[in-house]
Amino acid sequence: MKSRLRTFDLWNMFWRCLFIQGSWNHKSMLGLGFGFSAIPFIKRLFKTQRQREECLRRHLDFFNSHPYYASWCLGAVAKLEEEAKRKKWDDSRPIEIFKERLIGPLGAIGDRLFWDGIKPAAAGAGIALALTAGWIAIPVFLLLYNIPHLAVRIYGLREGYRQGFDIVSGLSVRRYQRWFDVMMMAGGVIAGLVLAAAVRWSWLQGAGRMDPLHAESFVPPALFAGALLLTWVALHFRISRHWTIAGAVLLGIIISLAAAAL
Amino acid sequence: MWQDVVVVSLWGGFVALDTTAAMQIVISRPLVSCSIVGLLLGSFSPGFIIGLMFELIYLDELPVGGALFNEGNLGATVAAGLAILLGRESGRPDLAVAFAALAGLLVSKAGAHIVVALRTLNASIYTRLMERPRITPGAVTRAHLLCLLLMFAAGTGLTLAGLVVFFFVFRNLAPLVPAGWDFHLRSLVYVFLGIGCAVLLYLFYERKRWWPLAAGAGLGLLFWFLTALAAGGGR
Repeated sequence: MKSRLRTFDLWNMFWRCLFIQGSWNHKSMLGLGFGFSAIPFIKRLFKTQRQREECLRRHLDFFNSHPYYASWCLGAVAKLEEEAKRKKWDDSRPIEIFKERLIGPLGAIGDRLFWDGIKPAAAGAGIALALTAGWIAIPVFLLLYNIPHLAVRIYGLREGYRQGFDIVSGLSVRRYQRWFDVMMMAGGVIAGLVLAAAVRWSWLQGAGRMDPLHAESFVPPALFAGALLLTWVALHFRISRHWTIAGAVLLGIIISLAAAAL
Repeated sequence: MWQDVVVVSLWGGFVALDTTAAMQIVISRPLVSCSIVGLLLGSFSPGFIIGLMFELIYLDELPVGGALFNEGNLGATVAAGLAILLGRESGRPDLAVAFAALAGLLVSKAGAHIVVALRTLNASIYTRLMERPRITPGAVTRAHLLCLLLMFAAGTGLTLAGLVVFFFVFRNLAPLVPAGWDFHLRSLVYVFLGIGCAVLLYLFYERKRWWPLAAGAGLGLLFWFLTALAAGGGR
C-alpha cells in the first residue's frame, strides 16, 4: 500500500502539469517540464536518492506532445511506474517506449482539436460578441475555451492513471475525427458571424458618427472593405503579415486623410 | 504615470507566461489582456478596442512548440498601455490609439526573437542540469522555475521597453502631426478590423469549408436586420 499514489499526488501532478511548457527547449522539448510534473509520483514511489535519480533521468529525456494532452501520458506513466515497482519489473524500457509511442497521437489530436478548432472558434465567438454586446464577450470567451481545456487536462490525467498502457486505444486520430468535424463547422459558422458583426459595426460607426451626405461617412465601411480585400490578396500571394499590415495601414491613412480633405 | 508603466509591465510578464509557458488559460489573449490593462489604468474602452483588433489580427498565430510566432499578446498589451497612457498624457486620444496600434505590431515582431533566445537559454539550462553528477527533484524544480522566471522577466522587460521607447517616440512625433488629422487617424481601427476579418476568412478559405461560413454570415446579417427592424418598430 505504501507505494500507491494518493489523490493529493494526482492533484499535485495536475498543478505542475499546467506549467509543463515552461522550460520548452530544442533539445528535450517538453522533457524538463515532464520531469518537473513527474516529481510528486517519483517522491511517493521511490524512497532512495539513487532510485529517484534513475526515474528522474528516464523522464527528463526527450518528450513532446500538445501541452494539454501531456497529462494523459503523465497519468499513464505514473500508473506504469507504480506497477513496475509493485511487480518488480527488471526493465523500465517498456515505459520509455510507451512514452515515445504516445508523442505522435497526443500532438496530432491536441493540435487539431485545440489550435485548429476550439481556439479559433472560442476567440471568434468572443470577437463577434464583443462587436455586438461589449465586455460580456470576455467572460464568455474565457469559459468557452477553458471548460474543454481544463476538462481535457483533468480527464486525461485521471484516465491515464486508471488505464495505464490501455490509454493508447482511446488516442487514435480516427476516433476524434467527429469532434474535429464538429469544431471545424462551428468555427466556420462563428467566422461568418464575426464577418457580419464587423460589417455591421463599421457601418454603424460611419453612419452614426458623421453626416451621411458627406464622403467621410463612407470612410469606415470603405476602409474596412479595402483592408479586407488587400489583406486577402496579400495572404493569397504569401506576402509577409507585417508588410501586409504596413501597406493596409498606409493606404488607410491616405484614404482617410483624402476623404477629410474632400 | 511611471507607476502605471510598472503595473502594465508586470502584467506583461504574466501575459508572457500565459502565452506558452504556464497555464495557457487565455488571459494572455489580446481581448482579455488589453481589457485588463484598461481596467488597471482606469480606462476600459480603449483597451477593449485595441484588444479586439489584435485578437482578430493574431487569431491564426499558434503558440505551437518550435514555431516562430509573433508575440501578438505582448504587442497588444503594450499597445493598450500606450493608447491609454499617451492619450491621457498628450490629450490626443485618437492619435494615441492609432500610434499605439502600430507600435504594438513592432513589439510583437521583436517578441518573436526574444522567445527564440529564451528557448536557447532553456536548452543550456537543461544541458547543465543533465551534466550534473547528481540529479535531485529539487534541482529539477529549480531548473524549471528558473526557465519560468526568465520568461516572466523577458515579458516584463519587453513590455517596459516597448512602453518607454514608444512613449518618447510619440512625445517627439506628436507635435509634427496636425491636430486636425487626429479624428481621421482613428479610422485606422476599421483598417485593423478589415485585416483581421481577412485573416479569419482566409483561414477557412484554406480549409475549403465555405458553407458553414456562409451560414454564419447569413445568420449574422439576419440578426442585424431583425434588430434594426425591432428598433425601428419600437420608435
